[in-house]
Amino acid sequence: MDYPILSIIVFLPLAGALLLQLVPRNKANLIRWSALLVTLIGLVMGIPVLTGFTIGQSAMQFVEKQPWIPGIGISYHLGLDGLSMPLFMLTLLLSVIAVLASWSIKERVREYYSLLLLLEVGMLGTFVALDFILFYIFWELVLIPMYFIIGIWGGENRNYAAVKFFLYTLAGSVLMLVGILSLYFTSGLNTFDMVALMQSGYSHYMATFIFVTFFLGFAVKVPMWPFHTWLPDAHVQAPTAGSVLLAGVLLKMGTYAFVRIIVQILPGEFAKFAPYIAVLAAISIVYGAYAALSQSDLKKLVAYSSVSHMGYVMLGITALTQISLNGAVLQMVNHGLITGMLFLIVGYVYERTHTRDIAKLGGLSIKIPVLAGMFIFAALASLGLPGLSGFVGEFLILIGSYSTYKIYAILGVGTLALGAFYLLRAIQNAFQGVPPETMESFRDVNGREFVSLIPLIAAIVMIGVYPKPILQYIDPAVSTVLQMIRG
Amino acid sequence: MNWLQINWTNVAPELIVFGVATIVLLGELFLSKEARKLLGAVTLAGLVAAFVSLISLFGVTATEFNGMFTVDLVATILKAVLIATTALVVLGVMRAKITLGDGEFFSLILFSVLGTMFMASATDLIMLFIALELTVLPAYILTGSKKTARSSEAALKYFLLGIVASVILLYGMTLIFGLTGQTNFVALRDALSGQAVQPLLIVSMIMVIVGLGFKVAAVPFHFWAPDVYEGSPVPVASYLAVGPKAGGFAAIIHFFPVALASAVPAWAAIFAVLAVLSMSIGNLAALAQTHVRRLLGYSAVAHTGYLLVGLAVADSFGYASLIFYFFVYSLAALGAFLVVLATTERGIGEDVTDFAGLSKRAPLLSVAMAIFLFSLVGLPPFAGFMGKLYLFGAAVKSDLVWLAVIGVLNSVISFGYYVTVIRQMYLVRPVTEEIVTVSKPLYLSILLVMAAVIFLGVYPTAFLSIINL
Repeated sequence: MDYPILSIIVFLPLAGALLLQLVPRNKANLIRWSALLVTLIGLVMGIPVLTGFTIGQSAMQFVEKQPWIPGIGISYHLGLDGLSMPLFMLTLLLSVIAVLASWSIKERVREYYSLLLLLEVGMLGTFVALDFILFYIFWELVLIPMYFIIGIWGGENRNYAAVKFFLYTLAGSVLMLVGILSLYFTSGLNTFDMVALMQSGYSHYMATFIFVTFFLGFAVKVPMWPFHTWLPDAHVQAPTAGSVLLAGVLLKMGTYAFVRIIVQILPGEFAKFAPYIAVLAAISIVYGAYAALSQSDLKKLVAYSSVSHMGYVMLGITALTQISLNGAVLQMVNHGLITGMLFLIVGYVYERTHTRDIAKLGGLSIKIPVLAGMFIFAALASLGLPGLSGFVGEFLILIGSYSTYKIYAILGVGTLALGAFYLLRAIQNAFQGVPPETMESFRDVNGREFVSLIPLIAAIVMIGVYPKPILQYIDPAVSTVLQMIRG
Repeated sequence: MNWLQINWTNVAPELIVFGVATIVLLGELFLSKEARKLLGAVTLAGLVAAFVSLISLFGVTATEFNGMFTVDLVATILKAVLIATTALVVLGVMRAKITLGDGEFFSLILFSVLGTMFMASATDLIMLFIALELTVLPAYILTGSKKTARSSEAALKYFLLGIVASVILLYGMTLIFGLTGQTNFVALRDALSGQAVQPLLIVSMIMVIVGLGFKVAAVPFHFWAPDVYEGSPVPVASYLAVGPKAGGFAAIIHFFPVALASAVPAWAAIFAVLAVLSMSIGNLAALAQTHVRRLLGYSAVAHTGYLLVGLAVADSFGYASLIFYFFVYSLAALGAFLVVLATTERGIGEDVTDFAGLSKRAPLLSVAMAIFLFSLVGLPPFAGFMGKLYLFGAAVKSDLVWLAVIGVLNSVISFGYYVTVIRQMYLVRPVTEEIVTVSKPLYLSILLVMAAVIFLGVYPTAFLSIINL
């Protein structure tokens, strides 16, 4: 590839956001379509990346490297491998869907879409950055647009949720910055280049400290119990597209960083601490499920189920077997698709009913059969129905981690049943039965909403039935990671 | 002294500033009312001329006036930063309502700048003290120029505390002179080298730190700062946010590493303590503020704390990082004050809640303010992030990881109060939809600062390569 395709894709939304400022403020539809066009172009440009990717090659591909701040060895270094590729694609897809989901935003439309596009820059950049400082910048770049998206267009408690989200993530990431700096000054390589640091076999007495700072930064983002308390607030208060991107992409930044940075740069420390992280992962799995069980708010239920599902991903990472890591990376994508879809439909339902209280809903299958059917589909995927993608990911994780953590794996299997319970109960109470008499009639899914949901359904079914096309991207990268950790 | 031996080009920037200050002052006396309106432009032109003459001094190292005045890279860069930021202030306030006469106002600022420039170049105790007084005396007058109770109180407080600090500083200096019989920094270093650090030297050193700590508003010598920032007229506050502080840090960077080279661990430890105190107390106190300028005043105290980290590190990387951070901090702080100036010029109050819905009334102004505040927090991709990266990097490099950790956690705390302003601007509905208009020079100044904050965040090498980082 002789043109910098990754840079173009990453910064295309930035250009889009700037151009959007030229559109008059009151032409809401023009703004919406322009934003859609920008994200669609990004998605289409992802196709040559997908096809041009050499499967089985362990080195980074589509690499771009330029000195940026040469004085202290900071470079503009981008690249993709089998770990980041699926998440990069997921981000491109969910960005399009987020734009589609935001049609109902009526206030300050131009600002909204500009921020959404800026958010996309940060998310995409995080997955392709191979320089620590660049990575950190993209990582933090996500905060500002998300703060405004939650804070301006969020629910009733939006200010609290937005500030909490910001402070938690910022506190985690500034510590990570100190860790990055320690790594830089103790490695003796005079570079912030991740690939060089991965290959250097870093070992120093500061490694434990660096590990702790990275762990805190990423654990807040994932989020792992007990760092998860920002999540229910942020997810519930955010507008639909915000929740979709939070759950679909932002949480993955944390788990991705675990695999990319902690596992690959501090393998020794990770191996040492993995059993303790696995405990937190197991607690997250069970805690998230139980918390979801007791929610009466549909959106909050989905939010807590995220904590549980991200726990599975973390369990797969800490188990460090070929199968479990494959499952973890695949599950990151699956969770993005499935939970994204759940939040999307919950948002669509809310736009109609103006309540998310499960007790006040009921019989939605009669009122809005298509949308209700799609919710049931997504819920089944989420609880791990074989044939849909959630099953594949969680199955691989549990099989793979059984050899390392038998008890947690068994606990994980048991919690799947709990997941089935709270999701089916929600379906039963909100979507089935007789609608309350007070409930007026609603229009079922409209064309735009339908279009936003179809790609997700297709992807969930495809991965569920035949996961090989995506696993063949992931598997070689996982092998590389494991080679690294076993020396 | 032989006047012919002096290379006058080395003092050309100071001479230009002095000349323009005199012209502007006389202009106020003798020009017609119409012509006096041009004095701001004259000031700006003078600062630009001084800046140009400074550029020719890059890379020059020389001493003049029998070692009292030194030109080196650090001094030249600090002067350049000072003149550039002052020029932006002058541009911003050119059309603003100034309580003094234009000529008085601008000449006082220029004299203060002159003092700060001499401070940056002073390599002699006597020179340092005189330069310092030249810096702050005009500042006292400017602070009180509004003639309201608030303004007078602030000026009086500033003056009284300032005088006490100066006296302590002077006494510390006399002790040092008594110990060594020298006033020149290099001579002091030579006289002190090889000797064990005496208790009296520590005492005098602490006195100097108290005196200079007052000038840079380090905790516990910071009590004047919030009052002065709040009470002085807004145009003055925007100058005070950058000018005198630059002088204080210039003096510290020149005095301690050179003259007290034999006692590095002692003063580095004191600066580390002051850094922690200033950061933490500044940020925590700012959390409780509702007046925007008072909030920025405490934020200035906190930033003094961050800057002192560079001195606690006590090596050339630390000093260079300090200078870089000082530049990016002054830009963002100046920008924030200019935005406050723009809003107060249109009669908007200075309570945080007066900023409600500003994003609807003045979209660009709000974006600029948000960018300045995010930069002050230290978020990428703005200049403040790069500054903190270098500053805390210097701390980590010198095994002061704990100081870096306290520093970054303070950044998190600081978001807690900056966000209250951002929240009002973006998340709260405006009381009125009336558009806020801004005079052209002020607008230009704000846009320039904003561009610089973004540019230095994305491409800091532009500045770093100049200071050899």
